[in-house]
Amino acid sequence: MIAGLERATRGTVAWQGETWDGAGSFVPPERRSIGYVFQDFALFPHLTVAQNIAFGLGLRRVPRTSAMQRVEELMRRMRLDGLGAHYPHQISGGQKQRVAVARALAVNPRLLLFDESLSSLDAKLREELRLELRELLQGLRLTALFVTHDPTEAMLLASRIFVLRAGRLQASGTPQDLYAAPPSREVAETLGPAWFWPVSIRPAGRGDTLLQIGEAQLVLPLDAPPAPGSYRMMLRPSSAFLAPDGIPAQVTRSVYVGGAFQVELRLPFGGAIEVRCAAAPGAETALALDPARLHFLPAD
Amino acid sequence: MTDRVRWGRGLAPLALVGAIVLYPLGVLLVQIFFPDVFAFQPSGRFSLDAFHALAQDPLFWSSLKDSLVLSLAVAATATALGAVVGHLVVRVRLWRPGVWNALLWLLFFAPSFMLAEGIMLFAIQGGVASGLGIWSQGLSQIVFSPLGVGLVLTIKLMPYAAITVSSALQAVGQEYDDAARSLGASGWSRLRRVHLPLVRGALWASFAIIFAEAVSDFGVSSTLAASAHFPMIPYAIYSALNFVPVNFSGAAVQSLLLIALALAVQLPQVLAARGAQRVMHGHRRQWRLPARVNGWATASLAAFFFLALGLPLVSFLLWALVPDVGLGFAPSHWTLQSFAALLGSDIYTGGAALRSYVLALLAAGLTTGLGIWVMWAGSRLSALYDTLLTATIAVPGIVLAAAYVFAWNAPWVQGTPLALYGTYGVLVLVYVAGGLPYSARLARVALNQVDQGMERAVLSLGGSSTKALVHVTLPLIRPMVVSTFLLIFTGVFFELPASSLLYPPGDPTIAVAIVHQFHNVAYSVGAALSIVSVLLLGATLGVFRLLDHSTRQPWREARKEVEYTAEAAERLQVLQRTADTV
Repeated sequence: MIAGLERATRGTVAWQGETWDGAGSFVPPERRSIGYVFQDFALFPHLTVAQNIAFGLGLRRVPRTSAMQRVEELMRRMRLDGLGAHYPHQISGGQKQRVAVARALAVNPRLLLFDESLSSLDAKLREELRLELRELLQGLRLTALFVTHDPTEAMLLASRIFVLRAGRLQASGTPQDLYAAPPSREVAETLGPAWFWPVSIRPAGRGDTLLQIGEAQLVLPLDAPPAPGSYRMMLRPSSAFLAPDGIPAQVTRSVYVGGAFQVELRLPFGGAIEVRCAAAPGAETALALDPARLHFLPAD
Repeated sequence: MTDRVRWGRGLAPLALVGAIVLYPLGVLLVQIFFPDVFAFQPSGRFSLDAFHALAQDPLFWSSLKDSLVLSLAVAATATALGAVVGHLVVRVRLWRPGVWNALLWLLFFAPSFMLAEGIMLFAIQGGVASGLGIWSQGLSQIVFSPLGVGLVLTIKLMPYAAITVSSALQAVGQEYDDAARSLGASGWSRLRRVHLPLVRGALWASFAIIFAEAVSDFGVSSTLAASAHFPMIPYAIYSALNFVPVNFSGAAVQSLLLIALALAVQLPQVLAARGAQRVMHGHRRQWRLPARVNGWATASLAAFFFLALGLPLVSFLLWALVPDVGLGFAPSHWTLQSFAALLGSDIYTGGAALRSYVLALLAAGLTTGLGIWVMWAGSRLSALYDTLLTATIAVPGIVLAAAYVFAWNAPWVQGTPLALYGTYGVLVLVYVAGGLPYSARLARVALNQVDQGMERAVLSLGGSSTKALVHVTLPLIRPMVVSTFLLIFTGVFFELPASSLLYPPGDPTIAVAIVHQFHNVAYSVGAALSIVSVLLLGATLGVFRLLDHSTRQPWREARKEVEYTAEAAERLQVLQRTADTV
């Protein structure tokens, strides 16, 4: 819809004050000056790498010499040197992705769209290209919209994340803010593993806060405690750690995941959480919470 | 199973392919270069006399020139028309989209001689156009002219291009169009710089296959073209073998020429396929269709299919029901006497329909079974058999029939059970030879879909390979088996070129009978026979489909995949010569 390939049935698509779709006007995709990197890259199979990159320049009647210079510059920048005469089926997945980005950048777009552009690659390549893409986007000084289902990808690439669910905007913010303090349980779970414990909160004096979790009571020095009342306390894996004088907990599962153990803990009041620790604990252990990494959502 | 047994099983189909395809074609070559082999006093003298004789025949040069010019024109026109229709079917929202695909396939399967006869019945003086008061000398002159012959062939062969182009467009998907749009390409730029290059292989392939079909089509060349006194090579071959003085060597050389033409036109296509392009999608996006039905496109397609299928069908119906159709359609003119005539004792009536029906059932059953056997038994050599059989598709029906005349009537088979010429045996054999490439290819695709682990599972449980085939593989590929059977049945039922040369004396097939009725100006009887045959075929296809549907087992999900494959394979068999470019 942003690219104009689909028409909006409701609402408006606008860019810097210019209405692209809605209110009776529609700017066709070819006049929006958008760079689009497709999920499967959609490199034209009948054109070489260089011809693919130059495709948009040809349509804009850019003089041949300038076009060639631009193509060479982009090929150098995207580390595609020597591949200009290759056809898309003759290059690797990572190279295809770089050609697709170069093709989109060649026309100096106002906005760069990525449609799950890393999802068709294998896990290892995807990880490598994420970092490459991050560096590229940081150097471009260009607005880029990256659509992904992968929260790690979103957090690694974005300066600002928009969480959509069933076509509706659920939240927006920096990756750090959204991860640490999501506005809802759905957003929290979209961005990574989270556990929710029902708690009652009241002041405990001397700036401390009393957290009543089932039968257990915890006194913690919260920086910005919420108003007294009932909440759901969100914990990330980094919110808790094993400590001898913490809340007694029972180890229900312990799995070695290479360099660490992934430990599932169940607490006497019914709460559960998974933490990583260097050594496998015994069947009984204790858990401490990091007050700086707790987030409170309204109770249901 | 030992390796020796496996290889023995793998080589067995070679004997079959050798007997029904390679041996007759070999004899055809012998006939050309060693004509005395077939003489009363046989000798092995090498000779090029057949070529010399033909080169001095002005009628040959005229039919060669006419065939070439017409076929090239038809190939260009039908490819262009088919490309437009393929584009409309895939990229334009049409009213009832499924109907147009069905009509394309119907036209694809419609026998060319029936389309030609239907249009002739409309245009002849005293025909349907006269009855409707719209006949003119000009109309008749156009239909019974090279232009008319070209138009009928264009209509008949257009589906090859439409199906090929629509398949290519579907394979390309929406994404390249979206990519070009996002880079600023307008509609014309996208067509010129993206769509056309991506379907270029399909267009080449269509052109080549349509040329090959046009130059070797016997149905139109023996009906409309013959009536228009426009000589074409297929009919010249038939005439050389069927009319006195019989010219065996002339028929053989022209047959060789026809094969050469069909193969030569593939060459540019093969070279074009060496290009570097390849559609690389892991998954392609469906084409996005406009929200509104395109009335103009729908109306244009409706008009085309009315001309292509409706007009011949209406002409047949009117001629069958109104024998004096040229005099108008007053109630008193309507009668069923043409249908009643089909029950008479004339050998060219109802009996021919039943005869073709039985022959088609027999040939379809044999061809389907043998196709599976060739690819199953010869699984180690399936690629070789596939290539070998696909190459024989380039052999036109009339040429295969001519080869059968020589092969099964040769001096060395006389007095043995192999002297099959003039018997039903040779007819069934030629039908099987013509259908085997299709059935084997469909079988190969379906068998490839069946997990080899299943046969191993049967073997591990103590069963044999044959048991695995019967109890596991065949039930899984049943949709393909049914489709192949019906495909071959339909083709054989209306088969004309081989039937014309090889039917047992006094026992014509339905296609021969229909053409005979029209040649003898018994238009009403010919039309009634055509209608009854079409109804018989339609009813049979319907019953088979119903039976197939009602006896399906609940594990349909597993089948869907195989069925889809069979359907895709059916399309592929149409595109058999184009598989590497589309």
